[in-house]
Amino acid sequence: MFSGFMTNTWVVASIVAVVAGVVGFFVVLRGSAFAADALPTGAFAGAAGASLIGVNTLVGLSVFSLLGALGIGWLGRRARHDVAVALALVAMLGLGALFLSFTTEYEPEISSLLFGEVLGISVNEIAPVAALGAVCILAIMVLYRPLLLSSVMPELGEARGVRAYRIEMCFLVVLALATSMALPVVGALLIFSLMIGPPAAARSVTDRPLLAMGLSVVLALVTVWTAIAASYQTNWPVGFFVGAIGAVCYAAGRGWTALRRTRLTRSAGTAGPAGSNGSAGPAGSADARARGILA
Amino acid sequence: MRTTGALCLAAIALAVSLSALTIGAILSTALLVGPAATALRLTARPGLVIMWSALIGLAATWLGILLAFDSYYWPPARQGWPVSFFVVALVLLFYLLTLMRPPARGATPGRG
Repeated sequence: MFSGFMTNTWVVASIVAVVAGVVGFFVVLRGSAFAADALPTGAFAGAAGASLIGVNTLVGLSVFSLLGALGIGWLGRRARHDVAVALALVAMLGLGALFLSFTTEYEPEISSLLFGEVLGISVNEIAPVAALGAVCILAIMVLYRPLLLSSVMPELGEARGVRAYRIEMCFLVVLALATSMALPVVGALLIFSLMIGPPAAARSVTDRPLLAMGLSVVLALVTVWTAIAASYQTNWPVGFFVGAIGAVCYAAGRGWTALRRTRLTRSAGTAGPAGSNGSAGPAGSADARARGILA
Repeated sequence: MRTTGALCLAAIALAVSLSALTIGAILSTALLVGPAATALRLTARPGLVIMWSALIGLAATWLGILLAFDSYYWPPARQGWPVSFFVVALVLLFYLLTLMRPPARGATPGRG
């Protein structure tokens, strides 16, 4: 499992998991799961175009996901957000249909791009993935405070001089970069589950942003590592395990929340509203509820 | 209210399966969202919105089929372009055209 060719897999998958955990936290916080689904699916069409004109797949993916992000941002100013995402998605997929109809020798690559081919990564692929991942993490670190503010309280952010539109654009570009980096590894359909499952689970456990982000990275790493090991043993696709573990993570997180809530109401019934739990004060729980609605 | 929601979901499911037959499962989003979003920018009256939406959908599909049929003679020769591409392109074209002009009176710009 840890032999030569597998080393690349472990390294690249770990990078992808860290980036997906960090970026996914904001995806869940901002409620832009549809955009996180549309960008990889649409960028997939870029890979088809790249193979048609004989360019590196990563270039096609990056170009299409960046164009998609800009399109979503541009349309999002003029239309409702989900309509903008849907229209950008179908625009990319329409082009993808055209590209796919022109190519003939594409079948195996399609399935590897859709569902991921984590077990056949060469050494040359590590450097671009690491570079793109570093850019994503750096961008999130720079944007951290304004991004958090405009995600949780957009009006307050505007009052403090944080332009929601600019932040949205920057975030979409980061999302696009993370997408094109992770897509060849875990696949178009499963980067989505890696970006939603662990962060959603982490957020249902804690309300503190940094703690939730760290937890989401840890969960994403565990998910990916377990998925690779299981896939190596069973010869089943990695994507299946990533999706299944992501769903289990989220179910566990929800279960934890439900458990805590029953315990909280019970303790509130006996000991008054100021429960023993740190975040259980009236202000804390109201804030948590507000964020729950946002997510 | 719950019955209405369930019925609406059932209607969407039927519409999805129908449009999936025409332009494929993934691109059915285009036919479901595009014409309606375009119509919402044209007028604010619900009945008219539905009528416009159906008309735009019809126009996109018919023109798309026509163009796909004709594209057999376009480069690369002896190979038609996919119907779904044309339908999506036309739906988007109609929507972008309505973006050029300000939304109709009463048609809330945030809606479509």
